[in-house]
Amino acid sequence: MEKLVVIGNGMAGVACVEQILRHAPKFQITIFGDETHVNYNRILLSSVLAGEKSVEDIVLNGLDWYEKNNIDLRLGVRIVEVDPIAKTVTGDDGSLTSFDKLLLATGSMPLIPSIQDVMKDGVFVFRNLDDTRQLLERARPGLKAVVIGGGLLGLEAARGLQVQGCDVTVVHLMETLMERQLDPTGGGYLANKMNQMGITVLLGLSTTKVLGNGHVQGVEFKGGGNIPAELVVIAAGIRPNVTLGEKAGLEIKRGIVVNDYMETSNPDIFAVGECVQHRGICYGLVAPLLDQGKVLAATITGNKGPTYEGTVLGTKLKIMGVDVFSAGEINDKVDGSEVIRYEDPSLGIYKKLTLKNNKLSGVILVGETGDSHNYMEWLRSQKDLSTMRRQLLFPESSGDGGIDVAHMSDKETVCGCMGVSKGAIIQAIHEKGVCTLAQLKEHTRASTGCGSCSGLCQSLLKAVVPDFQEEAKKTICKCVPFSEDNLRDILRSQQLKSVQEVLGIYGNGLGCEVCKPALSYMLDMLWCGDHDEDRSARFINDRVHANIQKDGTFSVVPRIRGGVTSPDELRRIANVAEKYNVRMVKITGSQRIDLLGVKKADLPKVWADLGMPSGQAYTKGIRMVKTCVGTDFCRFGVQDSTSTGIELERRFENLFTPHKLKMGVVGCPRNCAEATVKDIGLVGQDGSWQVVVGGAAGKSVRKADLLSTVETTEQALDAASLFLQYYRENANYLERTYDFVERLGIEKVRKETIYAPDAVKDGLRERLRKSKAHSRDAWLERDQPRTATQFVQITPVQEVLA
Amino acid sequence: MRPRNEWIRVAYCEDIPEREGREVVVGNRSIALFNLGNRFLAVDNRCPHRGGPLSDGIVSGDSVVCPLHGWKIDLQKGNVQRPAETPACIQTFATKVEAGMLLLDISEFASCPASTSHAAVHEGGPLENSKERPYEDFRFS
Repeated sequence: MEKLVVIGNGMAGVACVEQILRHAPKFQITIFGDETHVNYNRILLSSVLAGEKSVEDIVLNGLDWYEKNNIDLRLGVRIVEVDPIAKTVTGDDGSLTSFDKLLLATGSMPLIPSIQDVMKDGVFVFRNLDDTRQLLERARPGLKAVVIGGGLLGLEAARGLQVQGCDVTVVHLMETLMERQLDPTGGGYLANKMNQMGITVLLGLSTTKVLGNGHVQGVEFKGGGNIPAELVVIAAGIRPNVTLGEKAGLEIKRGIVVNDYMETSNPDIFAVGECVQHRGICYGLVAPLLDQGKVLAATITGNKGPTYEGTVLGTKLKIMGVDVFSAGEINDKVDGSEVIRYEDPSLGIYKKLTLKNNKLSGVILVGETGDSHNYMEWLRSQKDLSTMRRQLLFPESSGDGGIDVAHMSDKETVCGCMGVSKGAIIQAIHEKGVCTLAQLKEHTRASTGCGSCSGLCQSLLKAVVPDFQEEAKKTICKCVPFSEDNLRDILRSQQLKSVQEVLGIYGNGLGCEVCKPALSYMLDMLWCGDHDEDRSARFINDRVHANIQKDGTFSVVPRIRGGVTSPDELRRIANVAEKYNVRMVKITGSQRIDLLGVKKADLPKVWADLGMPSGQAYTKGIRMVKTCVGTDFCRFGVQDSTSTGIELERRFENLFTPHKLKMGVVGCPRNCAEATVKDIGLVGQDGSWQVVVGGAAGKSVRKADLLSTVETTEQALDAASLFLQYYRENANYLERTYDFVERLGIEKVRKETIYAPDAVKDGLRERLRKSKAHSRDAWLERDQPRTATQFVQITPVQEVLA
Repeated sequence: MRPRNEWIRVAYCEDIPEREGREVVVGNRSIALFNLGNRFLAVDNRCPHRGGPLSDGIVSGDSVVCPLHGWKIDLQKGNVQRPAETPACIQTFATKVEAGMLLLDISEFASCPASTSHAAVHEGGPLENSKERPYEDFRFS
């Protein structure tokens, strides 16, 4: 077997090896990588920095892959010499390795502009996993960070640092952000969006000097101005890493020169990826690497024939919520080109298509990139668009979910990063029995690059898989197209704290009656009540803390913990009922008293006269604890259900939950207060408590599942707390505990609450404690209304005769 | 001929929080005023379904969702957007802002009386045939 040595364990080198392995076995392969990690997806480093992905998430080939394919992997070894005559390479560990064929996949390195004193502590580049880890170590809330370079990488680094809490400024030499991909207008829209996210953008500034004594303290610009900085990231571009190519005596221009067969000037040495120059172009994106790898694999294995003819590039900015796409020619001043554009400044949408002879030559999309795959295909295929001129900017949408997919030809690329066509995906579905996105990723690699084609892959699966089952959880509504699990992660990682902010960045900017309350809850839960509550996003009940009735009046239910009241409270309730002409006084099914038919304007006075806290009978929150009389009076009682119920209610009251939450505590298994059909129930037994969850006796009837049996009352309350917080954090909005427990299974619930490691349990307890500390009796707003007109009807300033 | 505008001062703009509605009774007519951030809109404060107070609804773009059963009303045109193909419509009124004061044009009060019946148009459950989330989900019980 011939010996193939690959220098470079990055995406290009390994992708090329994967292609080589598809041919008949011919080589004994050794791969050298100067990083100490297995092959990972470099383009997702910004997602790691932004906390959206973990290091494990971005691994492309684990160690088992190298083993399975008998590849000798040498990590942490940098090749320093190549001898093309003796056919050997020398590593910085002193090792000498001979080869029959050599593959250079040395990639590129960061371009460091000539800036005085650039070597100071606190100045970083952003190129590999170690850089990313260092940035993550340094980044902390309030740290002043400056990113030099407003291209793709610079902007992604900036957002990542900002998510880590840094105060970020992007300094760009040119007058337009991403000027290689965007025109000035598009760049302007992008700059606005970055500003909206809280990132300062300085344009047309040349950084000349890093200030500070040892550690960076600021950067200085041409002309003398400066800004403070405690951390500087240089992301000014990359240049091909050609040193070893030079040592091997290859023809070099900007990169290692290769022909259409991916051959260099030496027949035994090949090169692929960012280090090569093909037809005068050095590529810095993923798609070309894969195209090149396929051709090279054919050539090197003796199947010479396929040629590489260049790649039409599409670029997507990978910042969640900032949609930017660009492909083809950006200069629209070329002779004979026509420009079609659309702008909506308030929505931040800009679309520009450049056409030449009715064929697409360039596209720029900012703010809305849903149709980018159509445009990319038109660019690649050079389709004649004359009959579609009216729909170019807004390709027709139809009720037919499979239409997008049906429009695509089998050749059409679905995943630009990994070069997977529609045909290849259909083949995988039929031949490998692929039916989920995860399986599709495993078998075809589709959607493992930037991930922007995952929606399209889903549609394909849906259209083709014989018995397709929706794996993605449903989204809340059309306004915010993410599943709730996904949204919780986004809000947490992106530090979003208000509903409008979420809608502005991740939604349609407007919201509706479905998503607004859901987002309100999510923010309250995630930040434990320490967020910017937006009353306009809440249902009327939560704006005025009472339950709206069919005639527009409200019902008032004061808190009567455990259902235990007193003559004094009853007298006050009676007085209020008479004073405000309450139309009906009703004992509820929950051992509470409901005063029905109260006018909104009377609510604050009613609460004041009652002198009792809100019973929260109007909200998705802790409703009540129903109790039996327990050991105090009952002949059969074995546990003190009333005082335990009162304590349970006191601990949880005023908290919000995904849906209403009702509890019950009974002093013996006779279950008089029906604890086994409550969301949380405590069932007293002789010497112990059973804690049950997920019961219901409403629209659904369900007997609660046993969470655990404990000896002491304090343990019972603790188990209930763990479940409550777990439900608050993991249920979808409007999902009752009985659906939640059934969806997850009680075993999983137990595992992640009462049987969870101590650290996890402490986390749940601590977040519940924080939420409780931020919560308050809503009826106190009687003295401090949120707005002057919270409860009052406006009287016309000018009198009008009736 | 369309009557001339008849502006009356109804509220201080600051009294209507952004993206919320407030009720103002002009003469004996209940009007819902909405602050959409960049402008104010006014409509009869009565959902064409069962007379629900629209001023208490959640604003969604240029529409409001009635708090009782989730009917969605376009605040600019007054038409019902949900349930779909409901011919009912409510009266809208012109507004303008002067010196921090919201003015309402009441010239059409006489020609378009407010409906008084509680069940104005559609009897039966709202959204029953709609694919959208059923109204029970956000009704509070």
